[in-house]
Amino acid sequence: MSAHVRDRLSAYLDQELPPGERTAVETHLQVCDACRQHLETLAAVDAAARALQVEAPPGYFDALPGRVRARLEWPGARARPARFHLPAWTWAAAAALVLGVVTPLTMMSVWRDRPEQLPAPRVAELPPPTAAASPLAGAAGGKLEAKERLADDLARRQAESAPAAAKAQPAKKDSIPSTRAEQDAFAQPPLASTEEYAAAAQAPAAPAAAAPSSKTPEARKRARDAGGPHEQQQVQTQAQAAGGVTADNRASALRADEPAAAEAETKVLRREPQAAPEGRALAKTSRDKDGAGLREEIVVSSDEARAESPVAEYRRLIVPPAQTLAALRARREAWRAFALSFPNSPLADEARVRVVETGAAAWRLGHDPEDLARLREDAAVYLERKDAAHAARVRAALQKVERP
Amino acid sequence: MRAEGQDEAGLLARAKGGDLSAFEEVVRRYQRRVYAVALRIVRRHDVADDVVQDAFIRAHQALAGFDLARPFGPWICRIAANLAVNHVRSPEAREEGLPADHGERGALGSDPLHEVLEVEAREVLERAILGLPAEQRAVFVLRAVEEMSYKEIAEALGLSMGTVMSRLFRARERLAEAVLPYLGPALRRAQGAGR
Repeated sequence: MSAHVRDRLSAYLDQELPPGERTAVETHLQVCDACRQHLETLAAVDAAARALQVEAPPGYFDALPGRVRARLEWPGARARPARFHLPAWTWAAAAALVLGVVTPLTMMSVWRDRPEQLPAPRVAELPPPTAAASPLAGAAGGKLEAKERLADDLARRQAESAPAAAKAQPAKKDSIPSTRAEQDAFAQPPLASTEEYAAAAQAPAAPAAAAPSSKTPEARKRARDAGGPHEQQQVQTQAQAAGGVTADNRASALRADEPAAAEAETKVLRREPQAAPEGRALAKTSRDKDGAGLREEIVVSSDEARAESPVAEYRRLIVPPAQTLAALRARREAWRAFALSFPNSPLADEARVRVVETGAAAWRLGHDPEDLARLREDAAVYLERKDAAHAARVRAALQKVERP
Repeated sequence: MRAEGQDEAGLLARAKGGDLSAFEEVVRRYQRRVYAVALRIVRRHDVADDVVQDAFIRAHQALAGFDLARPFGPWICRIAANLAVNHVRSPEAREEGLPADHGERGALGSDPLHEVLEVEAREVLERAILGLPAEQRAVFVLRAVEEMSYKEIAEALGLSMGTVMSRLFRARERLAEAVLPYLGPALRRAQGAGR
């Protein structure tokens, strides 16, 4: 075998040799079995390498498009805990700072400026969903450190929620409205690393195991009370945020198989009062389970049902993808509530589509026939709408479930 | 195929116009391919996940300047490969050990001996690829798996054509040496089947 020719076989295989060298190699190959065999080996290596399968952890590819989209819609939605592990105390310290310093200052400012509040943005002036949810354009994809992102997002959320909060509860000086609940939830680092994602996907019961497992409100509260300062703070936060409506009131509406996960997700609903035409029924859902005709309602008091910007609510719902079955179901219902609360918003169509897509994700994770039935029903209702702008997405979600 | 291409161009045009749902669909279509490129170069799932997400984010940011007449696949793979190589070049890149095996085993054939040999051959080849120096590995993956031209690889990784050629030659020599004992029977079977 000629060493000179052997050096060229790799490039010959790729048809990257100049014509003169190529001819020389071909001539040599006609008389040299060893080089010809080596060329076959090189080709076989390439073919074998192409045939190697690469497989990611279960569920990874189901979630990835949504994770990328969440980063585009809201760059703060993704931290990089795999490379940037903040100790738990830093999150607690950030939350404490917000609760102890920022919130009182904001509230003072809100009360001082109350008569000159800015009006809520008008729906007609809002950009479409994609544009509204693309702060990346401004951020240019920069990789802010987690602390900076946390501070920026908290500041932004403070700015967004403070006027609305003051508007919603002008007479309750001792009651801090939704902002505290937001801060509490937002101070939690998002579940975004692969390890966390895989752990959540593979062990959906894990959060529930560490949290109260009883489904009764009293038992849950007892368990939370015994759960240490964080849990106690959560109870306080929920009570304050609910503003007269007990936390369990809504949690029960979400059919929480896993109370901890569902409650965490419920905070998305609970965080901010939403608009409801009559100030009473925010959303109603019904579903049949074994013919029992289970009917569920999400009801808010008239005090709580204050007009709020759908954009602010939409941004709160666009958080890192729900990753447990209970969280997915709760998120599905949160999107449903959004669509019912803001039926004329340009964001409503997106919310309706997300009801279906989140329902499909719940079915894929849990394979509960009830989720499948709900998904089919939701998809059918959406596809019947004359204003369905994303019927293709809904059909795709349905098709993926029916013919995986 | 043609319709699919048009469909892709339409999706990309919508994504270019700011439709995030369209871009989400683009991610759905290309995620496995991009992930495969990233994982084969960086070898760790968590790092590959970062690379894939960053690649799509960068592609989205650069969509305004993207020529819709060009195929999206090679472009996004080049971005991912570039990010992956930058990672393995970076001082913080940790190349410790081989990663946990997420590899999927294909369906076995009817001959138990061949099954064992083929499974073993795949494992040997996988280990050999992962054992290549990172920059040889990147060049090999882009050529053998992604079938990029030398010029495309050179542009993607910022190398000269000569460097691409020599790294590819060295990578293939090492891989061929590792898997030769297994490829012999496979080649003979293939030749026999061809007669």
